Formats: sequence, C-alpha cells, structure tokens
Amino acid sequence: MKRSRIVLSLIWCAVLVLGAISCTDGDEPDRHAGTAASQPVPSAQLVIATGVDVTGKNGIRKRLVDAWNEKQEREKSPYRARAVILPGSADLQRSQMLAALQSGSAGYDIVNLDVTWVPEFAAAGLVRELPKEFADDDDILPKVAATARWKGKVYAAPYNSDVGLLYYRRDYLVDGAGISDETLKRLAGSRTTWDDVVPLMNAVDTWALANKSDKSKNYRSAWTSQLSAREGLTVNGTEAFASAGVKPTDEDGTYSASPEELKKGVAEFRKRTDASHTLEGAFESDEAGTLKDFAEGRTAFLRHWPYAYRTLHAVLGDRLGVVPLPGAAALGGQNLAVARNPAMPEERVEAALDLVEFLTGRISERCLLDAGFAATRKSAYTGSGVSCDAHRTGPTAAAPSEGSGNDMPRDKDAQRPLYARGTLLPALEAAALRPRTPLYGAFTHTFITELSRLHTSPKSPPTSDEDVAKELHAALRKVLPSR
Amino acid sequence: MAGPERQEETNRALLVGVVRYASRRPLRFAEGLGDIAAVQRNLEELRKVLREGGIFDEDGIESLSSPGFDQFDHRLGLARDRTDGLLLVYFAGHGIVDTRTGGHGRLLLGLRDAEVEHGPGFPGWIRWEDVLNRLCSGKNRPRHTVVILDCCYAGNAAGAWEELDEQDKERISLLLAVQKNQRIDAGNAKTPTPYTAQLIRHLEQGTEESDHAVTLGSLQKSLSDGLRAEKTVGGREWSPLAYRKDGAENEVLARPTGGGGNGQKPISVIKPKREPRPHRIRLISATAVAAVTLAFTLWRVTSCDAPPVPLSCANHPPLELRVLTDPDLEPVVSKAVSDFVASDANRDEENCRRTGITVYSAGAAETVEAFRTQYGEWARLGRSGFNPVGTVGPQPDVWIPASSSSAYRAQDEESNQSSVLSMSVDGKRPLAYAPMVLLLPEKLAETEGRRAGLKLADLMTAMKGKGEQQPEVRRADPRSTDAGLAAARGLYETDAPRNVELRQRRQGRPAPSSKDLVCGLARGDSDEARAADRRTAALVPEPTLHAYQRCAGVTGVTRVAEYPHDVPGLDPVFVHVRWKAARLDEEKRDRAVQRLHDWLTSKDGRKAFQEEAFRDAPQAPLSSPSPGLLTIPGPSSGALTPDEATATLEKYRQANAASRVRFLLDGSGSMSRWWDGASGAREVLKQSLSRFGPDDVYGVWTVASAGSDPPYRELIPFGTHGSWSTTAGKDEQAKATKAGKAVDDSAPELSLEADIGGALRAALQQMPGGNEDDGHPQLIVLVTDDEDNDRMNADQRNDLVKLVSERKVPVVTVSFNPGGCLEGQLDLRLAEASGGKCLDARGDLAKGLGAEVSQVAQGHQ
Repeated sequence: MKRSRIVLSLIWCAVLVLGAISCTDGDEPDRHAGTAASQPVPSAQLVIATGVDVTGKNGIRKRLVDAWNEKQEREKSPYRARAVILPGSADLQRSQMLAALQSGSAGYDIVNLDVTWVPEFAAAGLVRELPKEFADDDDILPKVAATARWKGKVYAAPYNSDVGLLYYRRDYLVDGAGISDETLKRLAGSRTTWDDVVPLMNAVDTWALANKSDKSKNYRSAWTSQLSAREGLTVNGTEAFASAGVKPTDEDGTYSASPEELKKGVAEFRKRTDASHTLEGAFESDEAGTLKDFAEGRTAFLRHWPYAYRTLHAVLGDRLGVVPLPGAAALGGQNLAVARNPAMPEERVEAALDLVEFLTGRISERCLLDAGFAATRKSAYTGSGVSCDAHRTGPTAAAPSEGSGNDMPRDKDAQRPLYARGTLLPALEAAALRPRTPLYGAFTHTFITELSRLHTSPKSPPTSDEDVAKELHAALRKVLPSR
Repeated sequence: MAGPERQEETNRALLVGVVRYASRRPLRFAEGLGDIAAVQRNLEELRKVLREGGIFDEDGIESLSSPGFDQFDHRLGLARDRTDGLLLVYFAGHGIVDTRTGGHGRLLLGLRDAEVEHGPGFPGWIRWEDVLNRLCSGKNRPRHTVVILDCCYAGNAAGAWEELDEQDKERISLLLAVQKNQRIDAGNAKTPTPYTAQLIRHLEQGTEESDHAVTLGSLQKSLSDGLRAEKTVGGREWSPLAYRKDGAENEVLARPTGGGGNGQKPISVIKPKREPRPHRIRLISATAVAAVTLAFTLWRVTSCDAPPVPLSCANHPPLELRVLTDPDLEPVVSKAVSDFVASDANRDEENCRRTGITVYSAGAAETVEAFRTQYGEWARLGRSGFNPVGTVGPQPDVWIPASSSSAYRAQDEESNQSSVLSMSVDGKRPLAYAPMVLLLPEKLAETEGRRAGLKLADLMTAMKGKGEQQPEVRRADPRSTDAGLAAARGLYETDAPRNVELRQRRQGRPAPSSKDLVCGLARGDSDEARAADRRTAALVPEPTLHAYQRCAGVTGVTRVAEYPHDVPGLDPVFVHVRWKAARLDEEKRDRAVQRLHDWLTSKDGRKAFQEEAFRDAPQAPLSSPSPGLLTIPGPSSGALTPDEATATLEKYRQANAASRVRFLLDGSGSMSRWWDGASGAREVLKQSLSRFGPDDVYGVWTVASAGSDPPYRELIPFGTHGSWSTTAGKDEQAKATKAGKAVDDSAPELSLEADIGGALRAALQQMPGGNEDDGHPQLIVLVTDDEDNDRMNADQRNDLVKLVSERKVPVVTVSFNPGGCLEGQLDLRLAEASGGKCLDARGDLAKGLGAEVSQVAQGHQ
C-alpha cells in the first residue's frame, strides 16, 4: 500500500489530460435522427450524469437535451450536452456522482440528484449555489422548491417531481366487491386516512377469498408496496410516520424525535403493513415487482409513483383507478445541479446554467407532464398558454397513429393527462418530505435496517412497537446530530 | 513556581485505583464491568515513583484500592482540606459517558459498586463534575491540584473543566489518558495500564534538565510521544490530553535523583512494557488466565449511550468510497464494511463519520477486462460500446476480488493503464480464505473421516457409487465469479473441458453466483426440481453451505461438504485503486482507503469474515463449528494462480463453441422515440455486440415493412464481426467498428410498421441447423416497443408462441414498453415458451441484454 511520489510534471500532465477529457470527448458526437448535429463539432460537451430512465416516457429527457443542442447550434454556440447514464440502483448512482465530484475521477458538469441528496451535495460544497430564481419562483410548487434549497440558498433546479399515489382495480372493488362509486369518490378526496381504506380492503378480501370470483384467480392480498430493504422502505416508512404526525428530524436535519413519538410512527407503519392485508412478496419487492403483482391481479391496491399510471392504464384500461395516497405521501423526484469544479471556466458554467434553466423551464416542464412525469411547475398543470413545442416532443411522439391506443387518457382541451390536475397536483401540494440532512445516506441505511427488523416478513417473530421505537431512537442518535 | 523549595507547603497524592468491581452484570450495550488487574500494578508502582520523586513524602501519599462511593468522596475531601501545596489526584478504573443530557457526554468514574442499568440512574458511579466541584469547594484549598484520569473517555472530562471559573482553572490542571469519546485497553495484569506505564516511566527517569525535574509541561509532551504508536480500541491514534493554564506548565511533579541526563536512553519513544504472558501461567492456572483475559477485554466498557453526533457533522458529510467485489463476496463484504462504517475507527475527533461506503459487485471476468483494457472508457464517461460504467459499475476506490489471481491479472504494465489508474494489491496476507468444497446431499457423501484429502475425481466417483440416479456436479458461471473459475479448474482435471461444459449446459443456465446456484437447487418446488436437488452436488466456496441452508429452510436436503485437495480455494485481497484524474481529495481519499484497509485486516475485520464461515488461514479451524463443515479442512492445492486462471478461462472459452445470434431490431416509426440516446435501442444493441468475440456469429435485421414486402431488412449480415476488445488484432477491431457503425447509421422508418410475427418466423427458419448439443449456443433477440403487436390477432399470437416453443431456440425479448413482460403480454409468452428471457423498460435494458448475450457468446480471448 505504498504511495508513489508524484512529481509536479505529472500533475500538470494529468490536468491537461483531464481538460482534454472534459472538452474534447466529442469524438463520438451524439448524433440523433432529426437533429443537424451531423458534423463533428469541436465543441465543449457538457456532461449530465443521470440514472437510467426506467420509466419509459417517450425518451422525453433526451428530447429536451436534443432541443437545447439544436438551440445552441442555431445560436452558433460551441456547447453541446449529452447524458451519461449511471448504472444500477439509486445507491450506486449516488455513490458514483458523490465520489466523482469529491475526487474529480469523472468530469460531470451537471448532476441529476434525487431530491434527498441535495443537502449532502450542497453541504459538501460539491455543487454551485444557483441564482435564486431557479427555485424561488412562484410557479414552482412550494414543497418541490424546498427540495432545491439548503440552509436558505438554492443549489438545484427542480427537474421532475414524484409523489406516492394509491392505485386500485375497479374490477375488484366495484364489479367484484360491489363498492359504490360514491365511496370511491370519497377516497379521492383530500384528508383521507389509512382507516378509510381498510374497510375497502376488507370488502375486497371477503369477496375475492370467499368465492374466488375474480377472473384471473390471481388475487392474494389487498395491497402491495415497495417494502424490500431499499429506499422504497424509507419512502413507505416516511409516509406512515408523517401520517402519524411524526417527523424524525428538524428542517436542518437535526434528529428531534423521542422514542414515544417514534412509537406512533412505528404503530402506523405496522398497521399499514399488517400481514392480513399486505402481499407477502411486498417485503422483497421493489417498484418493478409491485407493478407486476398489481397489474397481474395479485392485489387490489398498489402504492406507486405517477410513472406507473401510463403502463398500468395500457394494461388495465378502465379497470384502473388512482387516488392520492391516504394520509401523507412522500415527495420524490430529481433536481439538476451544477458541479462546483473550480477548474470550470466561467463560460462553461454559464452554458451549464442555461441548460439547467432550459430543462426546468415552463415549456420543458409541460413536456415532462405530457410524457407522464410529475411536473414541478403549477403552470404545467393549470396554465392555459403553456404547451410543449414541436422541438421538444420529437418527430413522432405526438403522431396519432403511434401509440395512442396505449397512451393514458387526456383532457380534451389541453391534452394533459386526465388525472394530472385533480389527483397528481393536490398530491404534490400535500406531499411529505423525507428527512433533509447532509447525512441522508446514514439516515436511510439506519431507518431501513431498523424497520426491516419489524417486517422482514409477515412470518417474522413479533417485536413490540415500543422496542422497535427504542432501537430506532438509539440508532438514529448514533448517526444524526441531535440537540 | 512550585517545588520542594516551598518547605512550608504540604503536598499530597491521593491514588485511587478500582481493581475490583462488585457487579459484573452485562448488558447488551455494555460488555460488563470486569476487574482490572493491571490497576493494582498502577497503584503500587506509581506510589513508589512518587515517593522517590522527592515532591511527596511517604506520609503524603494515600492509595485507595477499589473504594466505594462514600469512601472515595470522604478521602477526596480530606485530601483537599489537608493540602495547601500540590495535590495530586490519580484515578484508574472504568469510565463511561452519559449522553442523555446532550452536550459533550458527561463522564462518570466507576467505583467499586458501580452498576450499569437501564434508565437515568448510575448507581455506584461518581460524576466527574461532582469530583471537580468537590475540589473547588472547601475553606482550605491546595495551591494547585493536578488530576490524572486513566480510564476510557478520560478526554470527556475537559468539558466540565472548560466551564470552571478562570481562577479555578488556574488552580486545577488535568492530565487525561486519552482524547474525547475514545476507549482504551488496560493491557495485561503483569504490567501497569499503558498510559500509567508511561507516566511511571517518565516520573522515574526524569528529564534531561539539570535537576531532572518532571514538570506538567514536559510530562505531557513525553506522554504524547510515548503513546504515539498506540491505538485506541476504536483504532485511532492514541492522544493523551492536558488541560492547564499557562502558569501551571512548570509545576513540578517529580525530581528523581538518578534520572535523565546523559547516557540515559531517550524516553520519548519508549513503549509501555508489554511483556508477553509466560506460557507457564496458561498451563498451570486456567483461572488466572481467565481473570487476565477478563481484565483486558472488560476495560472496554462502552458508554451507556453512544457519544452524541455534534451538529457540526452536518457541515462536512462523509467522504464516499466505492467498493467493488466479486458476486460471491458481496454479502460478507457488505456486512464487514457496514461494521466498519459504524465503528469508532470511522469517527473523527468530533465524533462525525469520516467515510460512507457503497458496496457493489460485478462479474469477475468483466471486471478484470475492464481494468486491463477498458480503463480509458471507464474514466472517460462511458462512450458507447463496451462501457465499464454500465457493465461493472462506478469507478471503484477499493476492489476486493475473491481470488488474488484476479487482482494480478487485472494489472497490465505494458499498456497505458498507469496513465489512467493504478492498483496497489495488498498480497501479503489475504483478508480471509475459503476452500472450494463439493457440497452434496448427505446420502451421497463419504463418511466424515473420508471427506478431506482426496482428489475431486475420486470424490465424484465415490458419489456416483452411492446415487440411485446419475448424480451431477454443478458450478457457478466461471466468468461471473472467481469461485466458478476455480471450480472449472478443478473439473477440467476430471474430464475434457468440452465434456464438462456439455454436462453443465444440460443442467441449465450457469448461475451468476454460488449462492444463486445453491438457492436455485433449494427453492425448486416441482417434483423434478426436488429430484435434481437430491442428486446434485455443487462445487462452491465453503461458506456457501450457510446460503443453501438459509434458502432451503426445512424443505431442502441435508448437505455436507467434501474437501477435494486439488481444487484451488479463494483468497480475497484488498486492492487500492487510484484514478489519476481524481486529484481533488487525493490525500484524504488515500487515508480513508487506508483506514478501511487497516480495519478489514484487523481482528475486527477478520472476525466479520469468520462469522460468515471464512477461515483466517488456509488450514485454520473454523471460528465456530458448523454442521456439515469440517473444522479443519485438510490439505489443499492453495489458491488459484494468475496463469491457472488465464488458462482455465481460455479452456472454458474454447469448450463453449461460438454462438449464433440473430437480432431483430424493430425499425418501425414508433421506435424513433427509443432509437438514440444513452439508453436507446441503438446503444442497448451496441453494448450487447461488444460481448462477442471473433468467432461468434451474429446478424442484425431491422424489422419494418409495408404491405406484402419482406418483414425485415439486413443491417448486419449473419457472420463473424471481429472483436471490440482492445487486445484483439487490428483487423478484428476494424470489423467490429464497421458493425458498430452500421448500427450508428441505422434509422427507423417513420412510415413503416413492424411485422414482428413475420420476422420472427423468418429468423427461426434461417437459424442454422443443429441441436442443442452441437456446441453452438443459439439465440434470437427481439428489440421492440410492442406498438405493432396488435397487428396479430389472438390466434396468430398463439401460433407464434407455439412455433417458438417447438423450435427451442431461446428468444430474448427486449421491450421499451414497461409493461412488456407482464403476464399475458406477447413478449413474456415468447420468452417463456422458448426458454429465453423477457426484459422490459422497468429494468436496465442494456445491462440485462448484455448479460444474456454474455451467457452464450464465446467472447474475447
């Protein structure tokens, strides 16, 4: 493990090599149909580090970047942008982005951060402070804008949002269990709680398990959610805790709960994940697995993100229903931030800021909404003069002959997804934030570990709420500052 | 200035040592309160050197051995009241901190009756603040008081001192054995505790000053120097502390007559006497050994509550390390790393975590290839084609391969590798060892005495003699895990590689890890699967037995391990990877990696491996006996060498004939939405093409047509297309580049639709003849967005599914529709009917397809 001595000349060489990597990695220009970037431009390429877009939204993120590139070309700017897809799970993406910015091992100009990572990147000085208007804009939903700030400063621009929704199968609830539309309408209202859903779950259970009358015979349990020992568990835990009025941390990430408070959250979480209503496989499931279980009829309810709507509607059609999640729903989504690499020339920083502004502006947000994302701006849901322009929709996405049969229902006037204004927007406005702390990695690891102990599987030996709360309290005090 | 010249003053020393504790009831968060035999030595030797030091009279030194609370309190008050000169108060015993009140963690000193219990009470402990208050009260107070604390968390005494009035601070000085929030070892019973040993040594030998005077200032410096090489229990540098006002620096504690001066050995580097315990004691007195051991470990009493994490930690989040390992090692490495992250060794002076760590795994052969030949792409932000960021993962700071041979094979000094990254392999001593074992149903196993010391071939022959049905031996994918490669090395000694691989293929797809292999056996729920479990042995690393048992629950068979002596075992090593461009935090990152290395190679780190049934040395016994495993593994052929590994991989490659793969790329108008971009159809396709070697045969059709036109157009003709490997010849690379360019230049036909059924039928008809055993694995890959599936009615779909089912060429469907693999969807039905796989946009398509193609491709040399 001996370190080799590095002579000064080698340092200079490395700086030059790094510069070359950052600025001339355009030897494989990102050519794409419909754009004019066919000439290899000796351009300065801005690199956006982002995760794989597993949500299938007409490649809208790519289209938006293409549209910015075309704009640069028209304006004779040397800058072009391209995305680098980081692998695997969110944990791996965070690890690579974080370590690469800390060390300089890869030259990312812009990073697409999960909303929970912003405090960490900001506190570590890895991303630049942005002009206030990138988040302090009345058009941006307040809860969403809050995720872009840390300690009163703006470090990121909200790109796309996300919030937990409750999907249900009308064929099970209405056609099978005979639940009235009136009841379902109440469920779609605001301020519902988990107790409002439980009778419906009981009703479906009674119907389905009594005579097995659902056509697929697949029904197993009332609901499923992402309860495997990953971030999904933190999301579900946050939703239960917030519904019980429990916030583990202050706004600055200081641990502020007592064992007694945590006990309430644990009790709510236990109630939601009770074995009598929860699909056993949920405790080993992620987003993809739960979507499959629900779509294939193994449950009547599903907690999932908005992006599932398009896929589920394609499979289930009118048999699909969706309402805001009872109680509190966790806010998700991603924000764009600009790396604070001191070697970045001012002009490059300006170009990066322009790109971020373009990707998160009103028109882009409307495009994101139309494609199935949860937009971050009110105008995308309600603005009458905002529509997605042809540059950004791409050559065929809007073609009526392509895919209209599988697309989600839209309102007639503005062609927005039909559920956007009545279901998605209120859910976003009422959403709960996960703890905001620069030590989020340690928090979520601890939270997951402790909650997993409660519900590794419905067959796990019983542990009292009080014991779990005590353990959680002790464990969180070890990883978070407390007053 | 103080000293004996002030004859009118009375100096006193109160030496308190708690050797015995009445309560030893252990709690979950405290290891228990044990006796500390070394403290008796402290009292005896300290008394002697103080007496000889000339500052304290014999009558002025009081030793209290294991006092109770009242006795301590009383004698402390008395000592204060009777001293008008220098008062020395010395304490050695257990120290803990109470953090419930927040702040800096209040120190408590354990007296004889101390107990640790739940709740706010601390019976038998005296609060340090109370000691300090006692010293600051009273009518007659010493001119100066020096308090020496030799206990865990001694540094936590500083907070209360800081809050004293200035006048009291001038009157009281502290010497604290260790910095804040740290625990320390007591050493053995035959010597004083390490800190007090240093104290005694320096008081005894004096300084090089003319009068040998040992002042508070000189003493602290000597103590710090003397403990510099030592570590706290948490693995930190041991830093004793002193708190005093400037005027107290020259307070003299001893002026030994014969100490210091010329001819004396320098004392600043003396380590505490740590005489090895004579073997004689072990042999003649088990009780004595037990007591000594108890004292050694129980000095480490932990706090009642962990020290608090201060608010300032949020201002500097931990440095992130990326740790890459072998798929077989991911569980044990994750657990060990998690223990390290939570340990004291990972906390800084403020009690903040220094490092956060993410552990991930990737195929062993792909990892070696990425290091050896694709380092440029790894660092250069993932250009298209073979891209280690996508196939292996983040740029690792640490790599822990399961076999040291991988670490050495990954280095290529003749290339430009060193201009991008460097690797430091700690090959001196692997982190752990695991022999490869034949894990087989007990019914097929030898008797316990014959389970070690035989060749693999002999063990297999013996197994065949016991089975009612033809027994089978399986191993994991040799390209995915080092264990799979070691197993292949062993199996190739029993038969020709081609025969071995034919048998492996007949048993199903190779498992990506040993755990997947045995859990696949354990979890089968059909009669056929259960029968396979009963007749199949797995050639896997020894710790895999636990994975089988966990997966099998009560339904699996009882398995035991046999230890062939001619199959090389695993010897995971620590590799520090430095990326040349990573200069922003170079030194800090190096130190973080070093700390992880030190911990993993420490007793604690090795224990984490041993708890998962790894061994500390090739012939070392298991740390705890486990049913089915032999405590001593018997002779073995050692670890896999780099040459053996390379030769075995090449034999494996040659034993698997070149693949024949037909790609059908949906080129209809709707695909333009998915065509380009870093996760688009062209990139997904290109990344999978990079898996092919020069002998693999493949072709690509684009599927788009109108009316009665043929359903496809040829994009890349069926044939060989070179190799993307940078170690391949120029011609081969040029051919691969040409194929890649064909994909780059392709574009969807906006006005056309895809006749998926027609194209699939044509592909099946044109696949070369042969059967599954001709050695050439076949595959059809369909990349689509499902938009045109509704061109077929239900009967046509059923017919298509029936056809692929009959032809038995596996079809991998790659769907940009996130619902493509849901029940009833055509993609899923085609994949399941043909024995292929369905991948849809809920997952990472590039990675998924790359893995499928890797399974059949012969690959690079």
